[in-house]
Parts: sequence; structure tokens; C-alpha cells
Amino acid sequence: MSTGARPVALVTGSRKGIGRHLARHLASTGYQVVGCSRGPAEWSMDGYEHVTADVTDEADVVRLLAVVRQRHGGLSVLVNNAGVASMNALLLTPGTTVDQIIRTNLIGTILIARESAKLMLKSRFGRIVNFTSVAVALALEGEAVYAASKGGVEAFTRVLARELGPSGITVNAVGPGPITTDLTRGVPAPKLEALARRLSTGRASSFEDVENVVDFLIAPESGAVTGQTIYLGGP
Amino acid sequence: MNDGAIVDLIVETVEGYRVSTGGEGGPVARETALFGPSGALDSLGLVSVLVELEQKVADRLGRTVSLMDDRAMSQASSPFRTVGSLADYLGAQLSGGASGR
Repeated sequence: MSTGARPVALVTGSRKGIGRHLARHLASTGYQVVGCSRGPAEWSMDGYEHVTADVTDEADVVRLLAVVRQRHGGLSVLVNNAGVASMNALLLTPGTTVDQIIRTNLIGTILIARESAKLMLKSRFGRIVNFTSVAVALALEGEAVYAASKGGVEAFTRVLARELGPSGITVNAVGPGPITTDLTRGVPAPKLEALARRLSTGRASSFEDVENVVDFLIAPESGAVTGQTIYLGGP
Repeated sequence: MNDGAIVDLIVETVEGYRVSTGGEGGPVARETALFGPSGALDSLGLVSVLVELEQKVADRLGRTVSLMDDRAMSQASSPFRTVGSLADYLGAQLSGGASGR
């Protein structure tokens, strides 16, 4: 664990959506939370501090984790949430969009995990939670690039779990079903509802569903749970 | 930071790692092998020491270096063989003025 009185958690993409919800949840349950996004946060609360950083920029990521180390001395939990989506048929998807999705969802996840693990190494304890999507398991048409980026995150999760396991660091992934956030803003409601019906539960995910799984994965007692991908609602 | 100070920093870090993990071994000096059959560290220990060195350089010198970068991995002769070879590699990064990233 970290040296401070409160264990330290880093939540990427915490300005809004799932990241904001999880950052607030962790801060209210005893964590010192550092959040980040490309822009400043429009909210605040006790136990939360925001750092402006772009997860796709390696120098920015190094600087972010240096801030965490210098202010708090270590890191116990990483919620590797930052992500972007662009739902469109591949034949209509520009290369710049492909690049942006892969950079944020896959490369950003990798860079943040690498620098976070360096902080966790010394204390021989860490919990890394990456974010994937049911789009991978359901092979959703219209989400080829997004699903490819998240498929990469799943493979990365399994391999990193092996690399960091001997150091007491677990690495898992959670894949929410459709959930109403800015990420799904451009998707028509009937399409989201149809997607939800394809899941075993037949319903969309909620922030509380994600919170519940994250709580389980980051618990000190979950040291034997690693390399797993948990899909909410099914698939 | 001169060569002697860099060697001292590495020795301090290796010995600190040994203490923190309850490891044993002889005195650490410039010619000490870091890994291999007679090395002072296992693979996890080597990674831990390199990470801590990066952090100490950042804290004490305000400089960002990356010891585990492509240049290190692609060299025919690993810069991580001994305390001395690592000191040379770190010294070159510091004197080169490169951020390493």
C-alpha cells in the first residue's frame, strides 16, 4: 500500500462519465484520488485532486505519475478508464479517427499502466483495472476499430497480469455493456436498447454495476484475481 | 553528477533493494555483476532497481531519464551487466542532456 494514511488511487478520464463516477466513489470510500483528463475538471470534492494530462502523450504520463509519487509517495490502485469511441462502419472511418481511437484506448492504457506499475513495484502491492467493452465479445458491427482497440486492452491485461503477478500487482479488465455517457452520445437510443437486448441480462449497464466490479477487483482480498475480463450483463 | 556519485547512487539502490527483500550477498562495488548466475539481482530485482534509480534521479537532479528504453535493449552488450556499466549508461544519459523520453 502507499505510505500515506489513505491508499492512493489514480483514475484516468475522470472529468466525466464512468471515470467521474468512480473517482467520486473512491474518494468517498477512503481513497486519496488523483484524476486526470485532457482538460480541467468541472467538479471537486474532498479527497480528490485533478491533474491535466493527455494519456496518449508519454511525457505527460511520466509527469502525471511523478506528481502522484511526489505528492503521495506511492500508488495502490489504477482505474485505467480514459477512452474514446467512434461508432461507424469501417468503410466510412477516416484514418485519423482510427489513429485517435487506438492511441487513446490502447496506447494510453499501456503507457499509464507501465508508469503506474513502477510506483506499485516498490510496495509489492497494486490493483490495475483496465477498461474493455462488450463490443469485443459481441463482435458488434459498426465498432470494428473500437472493438479492436479494446481487444488489444484485453490481451494486454492478460500478459501484464503474468508480468506483474510476482510483484503482488493484479491486472484485470471490466467491460461494461451499453451505458449512457458522452461516449455513447452519438448512438441512437433504439440502437443502444437493441444492443442491451443482446446481453444475457437484457439491460444496459449502470454506473453502480461498474462500481461494484471495480470494488471487487481492487479489494486487498482479491489478490488471487488477475488476468480476468469481466463483462457486465453477459455477453 | 560525477562517476563516483553515480556509482554510489547505484550501490545505495542495490543494497536498499536487498535489505527491503531480505536478500543476502557480498559488498556491492563498481565491478559487481548485476544479473546472471553470479549477479546481485534476479530479473525482478533488476527492474525494481532501475525504476528506483529513475525516481532518485528525478527527485535529486530534477531530470527525467529512461533506463529501460530501446537503446538499452538493442545494445549488443547490455548496459545492465555490472554496476559500472550501468553507471556509464546513466552517466551518458545525464551528460547528453537528453530527457530519455
